[in-house]
Amino acid sequence: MSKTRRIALCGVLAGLAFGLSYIEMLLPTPGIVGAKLGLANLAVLVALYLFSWREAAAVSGVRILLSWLLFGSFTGLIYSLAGGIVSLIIMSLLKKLDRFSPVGVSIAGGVGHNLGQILAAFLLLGSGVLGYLPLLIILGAVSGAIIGIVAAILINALRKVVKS
Amino acid sequence: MKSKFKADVILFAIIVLMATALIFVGNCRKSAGSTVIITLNGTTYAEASLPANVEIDVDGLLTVVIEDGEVWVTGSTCPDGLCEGMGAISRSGESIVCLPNGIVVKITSDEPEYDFIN
Repeated sequence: MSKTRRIALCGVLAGLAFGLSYIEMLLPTPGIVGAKLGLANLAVLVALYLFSWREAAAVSGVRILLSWLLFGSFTGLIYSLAGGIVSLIIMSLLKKLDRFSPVGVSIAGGVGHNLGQILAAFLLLGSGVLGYLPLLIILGAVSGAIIGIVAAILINALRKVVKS
Repeated sequence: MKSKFKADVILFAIIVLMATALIFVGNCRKSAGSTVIITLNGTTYAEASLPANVEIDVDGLLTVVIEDGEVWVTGSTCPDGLCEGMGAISRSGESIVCLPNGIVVKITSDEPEYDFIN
């Protein structure tokens, strides 16, 4: 695939990720601090599987910065970045292992995202936030599984289109 | 592909089992709380004993209500209001977190932390 084509597709995925995080803002939250479906991770997973971790990092980074500029606060940016970075590192490593399907990679990514956010909250606010860790780990695994199943279907469908 | 599916399921099961074990251990360690500690951006803002009936205004951001051994949050200025939705806490080790305001309300006890092992 030509470089231009790859950059254009990354732009599309970044736009998609941004749109998805906006849709997620409109959805009702489950009422637990830090619990989210993580719709935007769909686009990040697709970038990771169609291209590489570099493109996935670009898609994730652009999404986080855009969300911050348009509707976020600075503290929100710190939590997004912490979650996004930990999640991406774990997903890249697991994908490299080649033991798991995109569903497993997404499960680990969802858990990693919540671990990163709790870590940031721990550093900023102290140990009082750690009580939420077990519940957020479970919720991260569940939402990661849901997103992973959709992402797996998308990746299979898109592979045929993108390769040509 | 099929073996990968199996690996996915095992990964999911291990994560959920470990987190459930953490919840179980956390619940065992909970005892009757005695002190409420409110921190703002990581530093202690106020402390109160649990049996007291008071309302504490935290820097104009939210109000912590302590009444009949229970603690909850009202009137928060944060956009999501999740801290208010968390309801009341009463036992040591429990906490209410308001991420947008950087506030943590935590209950601690005077008893030694590992008393359940003895």
